[in-house]
Amino acid sequence: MKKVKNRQCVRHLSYRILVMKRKKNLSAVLAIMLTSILFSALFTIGSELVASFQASTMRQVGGCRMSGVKYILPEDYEKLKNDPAVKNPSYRIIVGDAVNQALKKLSTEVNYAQDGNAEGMFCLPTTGHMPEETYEIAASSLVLSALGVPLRLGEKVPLEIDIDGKIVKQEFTLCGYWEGDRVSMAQQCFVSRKYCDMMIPVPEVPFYKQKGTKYAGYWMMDFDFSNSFRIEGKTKELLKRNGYRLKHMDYGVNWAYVTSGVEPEEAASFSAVLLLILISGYLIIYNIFSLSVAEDIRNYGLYKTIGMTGRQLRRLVRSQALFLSAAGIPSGLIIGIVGGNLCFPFVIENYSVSAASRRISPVFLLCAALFSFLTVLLSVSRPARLAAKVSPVEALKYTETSSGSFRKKKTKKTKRVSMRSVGWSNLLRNRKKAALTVCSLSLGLVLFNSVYVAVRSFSLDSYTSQLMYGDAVLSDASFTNMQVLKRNFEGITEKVQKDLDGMEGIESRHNVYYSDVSSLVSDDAAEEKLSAFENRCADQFSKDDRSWFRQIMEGDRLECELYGLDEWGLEQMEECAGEFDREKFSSGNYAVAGTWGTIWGLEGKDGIFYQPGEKATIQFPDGKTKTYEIMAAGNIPYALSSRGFTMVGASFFIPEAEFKEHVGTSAMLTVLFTEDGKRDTVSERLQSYTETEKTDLSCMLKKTYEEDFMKYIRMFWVIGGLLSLCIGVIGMINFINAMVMGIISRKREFAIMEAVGMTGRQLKQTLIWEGNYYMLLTAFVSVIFAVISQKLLFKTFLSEIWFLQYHFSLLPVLASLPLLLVFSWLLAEAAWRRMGKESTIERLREME
Amino acid sequence: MEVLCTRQLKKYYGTKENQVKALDGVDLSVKQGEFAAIVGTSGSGKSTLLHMLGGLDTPTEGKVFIDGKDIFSLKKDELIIFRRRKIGFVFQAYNLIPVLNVYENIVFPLELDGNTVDQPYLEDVISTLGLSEKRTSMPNQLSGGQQQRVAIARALATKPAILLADEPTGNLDSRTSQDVLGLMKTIGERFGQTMVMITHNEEIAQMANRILRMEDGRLLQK
Repeated sequence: MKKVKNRQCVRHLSYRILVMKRKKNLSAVLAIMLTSILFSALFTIGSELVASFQASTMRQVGGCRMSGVKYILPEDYEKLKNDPAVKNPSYRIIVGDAVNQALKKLSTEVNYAQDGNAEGMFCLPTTGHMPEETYEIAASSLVLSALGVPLRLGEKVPLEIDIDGKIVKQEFTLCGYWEGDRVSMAQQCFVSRKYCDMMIPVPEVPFYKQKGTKYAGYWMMDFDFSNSFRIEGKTKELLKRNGYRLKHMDYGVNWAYVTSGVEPEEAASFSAVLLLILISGYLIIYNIFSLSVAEDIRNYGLYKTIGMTGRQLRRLVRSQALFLSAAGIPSGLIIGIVGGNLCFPFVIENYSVSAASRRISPVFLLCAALFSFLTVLLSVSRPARLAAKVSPVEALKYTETSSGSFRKKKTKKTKRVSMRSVGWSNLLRNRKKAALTVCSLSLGLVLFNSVYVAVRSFSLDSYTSQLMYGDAVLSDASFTNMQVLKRNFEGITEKVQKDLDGMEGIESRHNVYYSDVSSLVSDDAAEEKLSAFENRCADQFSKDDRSWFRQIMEGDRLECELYGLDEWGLEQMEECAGEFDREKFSSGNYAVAGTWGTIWGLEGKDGIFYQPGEKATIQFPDGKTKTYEIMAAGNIPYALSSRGFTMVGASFFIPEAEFKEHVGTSAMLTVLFTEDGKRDTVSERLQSYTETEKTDLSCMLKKTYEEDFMKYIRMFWVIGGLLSLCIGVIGMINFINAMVMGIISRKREFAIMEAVGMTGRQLKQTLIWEGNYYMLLTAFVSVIFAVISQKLLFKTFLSEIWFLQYHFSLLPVLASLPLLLVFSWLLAEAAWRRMGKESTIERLREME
Repeated sequence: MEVLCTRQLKKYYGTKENQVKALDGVDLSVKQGEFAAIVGTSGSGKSTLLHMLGGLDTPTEGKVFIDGKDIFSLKKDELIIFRRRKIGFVFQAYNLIPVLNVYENIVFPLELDGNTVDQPYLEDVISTLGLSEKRTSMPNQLSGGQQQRVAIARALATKPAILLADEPTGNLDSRTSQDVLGLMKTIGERFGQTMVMITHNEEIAQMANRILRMEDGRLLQK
């Protein structure tokens, strides 16, 4: 076929049609807008989450540049710097590591760095400047405070620097510092170029050619690419392009750009919401467009008689959608982004990342726009086909009744015509439209119901019980900080215990004691144990595991955990084997063995290393030993345990008195219960106690967890509520659209009815009944889907959340029903009033 | 030269006893420049015949040739394109596109085809039909007679092989009807336009140079 330039005129016509029907377009634009609001809010929240994860990963990595090449020579830098792919290049020169005694716990590098390089590592001085004079230094505040240097420019900083094995002592003058980040893997001290040149000769051979491993003097180069796609591949290409062999070069990409930090569950719920929005957007836009096509079908027939092809008609409908999208999508995007930004704080406060970056990536914006547009195109494709298929002669006879397939009734019972039955048959005229409207309305209701059920099912008690017991728990600060290598399990000293017992408002207090101990196991016994253990979990326990296990048990000893528990602690214990006899236990000759082996998939009884009835010899820290008979096996809740993670090891529980006698009187943690109504005052007292008097202690308060929990709930309410509100509004628009279009397309019919004697009141009643039927159907469908979705939701998605106690509910659906009925009644009333303004004869004429 | 010809054109609705023969073997031939009127009572099948001639409806049997082309041998979209190039339609209800102004309505079929407008010809048509003053008016600002003249101009815009008019004066009073028909006749003479018009009005039919009568789906040649 000849290709002709006729798009212009189709587009022109569609524009004119739109301008003519300005009011009717409002609902379509609104629907498109809502859809894109939802998409852009979703993408904004999603992208901000990713960005925040990225930012916190960057803090850990200690840099924001995308890629780096390590241990190069100055000439390599000059060569790579000039490659067109390289953006923001900068370098630093390795000097050594700071090895002062005071910096033992803080890994600290000493380098010379360009300003840009320091900036890329988040280490540009915020006070002062980068070093210029020979003995100037800029350092992280953490390093300075570890060295005991006050944060003041001009202070002396004594450093011991390990330069490739040679220790150099040097006193520097502080010229700049910045807030150090504990999260980052190494702290930085920057010296001047002069000092660097003076101390370190420029290396002569490439790093890979040197004999020993000397680092000092080699250059580290950091740089960006124009975008973060495929940075590893691009880095490799860059090196090859400049004549390097990959095995000779040490390069690294910033994994903040590689891993997004998004968990599969989050990705799944993201996609689920995406799909939900797509469906609800489809439902309404499709409905609006198919109604509009049905209404204009005569015109489409007319266009065909004067020579429009089916393709041109399709394009006509599509380009109307395009125009409407041009109005709806941008405004929706803006509202969505603003809204998403407002909601974001509610989401972020539940993740341990800072809401550092608040820029919205244009890629995500584009995605939101694309998805909105995709929804519009999908929704419009069927109505467009319908318009294209119209036969010019048939179109002249077309009315709404003939849309869809005719249902041929074999017989029609003659019964009394009531307003109710007329309303019902009106609704049934276009089943597809009715079904779509009902679905669309139900979607919002079902979603709202799910949000309600989810929120109601979050249980505060089970949330806090996993994290802590009692109203407050005190322990050494290092106990709760997993990043500290050596945790202190003896923070609750006798002095602290005395202080606490002196406080008012505390009803009871319970100590949990802990110590790392060894249990003595002879070679034979160990072999026997291992074999038994292998039998129980043959598939998980490999040869490698076994030899590794043997290695650990070298010297006939096994690292174990020993707990001392009081009466209350014993009550919290979950026993899984043997018979626990309190009386016998308190004699001090018996112990309860803890289970382990969960790591190999063994739960409960199978995971016990020492079976009840066996004897275990425990060597205490002071070297003395005692043999206990194992009475039973069980475990204490995680919140009361040492929270350690041992691959191999057994744990034992002995009475408090026994522990005090053999190990010591300081407890790992103490659980406090407050008297009724005194919780807040006690909490405050404890907080000030740990903040001012005993600063090495940390205090967990039930109150804080409760607040965290409320934040979590609030996030669900806000996000879920807004989402269901938007989808609910979409449903409402759909319903209004269905009713109003139904009324408009039947205007003449109503006029005829009036002409033959139906009163206005009766007419209104048919409308009200039609609305009522819509709502009843919606309620029916919603209840069914609310039940199904709850079951599904809780079986799959939410079952992972441990603080959930499922409460079935249909309250939101049922509660909104009366509201919906009132709404439909008001709508019928309004529509009827508007119609009543025109006289019957006017309306009869209008459709000629 | 023969512009339009049909061979044993039949259109049956329903089956067996209920069968209605809307067209029952029509053979018709219209020559270049001829203005033919088909007269018949309502239900005689004249509208069906016109729809067939324009390819708007498909026959049960038989063929329609326009400019020597068997139009029902064409594919659906080919037929539409053939129609917009070779056949002009004028309907009783004018059927103007309400959202386009007079001039846009007239050139719309041309633009659909992606053709450039033959400006002098079009100006001639517009002035002949007395629409020069109205080119920017919207259809709803025009009287019935004016709307019908726009419809005629639109039908002529593509210089069709044949113009088919379906009761073109059915909605007009007798005075205006005479005017419109007079114009059609003028156009027929001036542009050598072949025209087929259906009407139930004998008086109107008299304006044509050839009158054919339809009864029960058959053509009674006069």
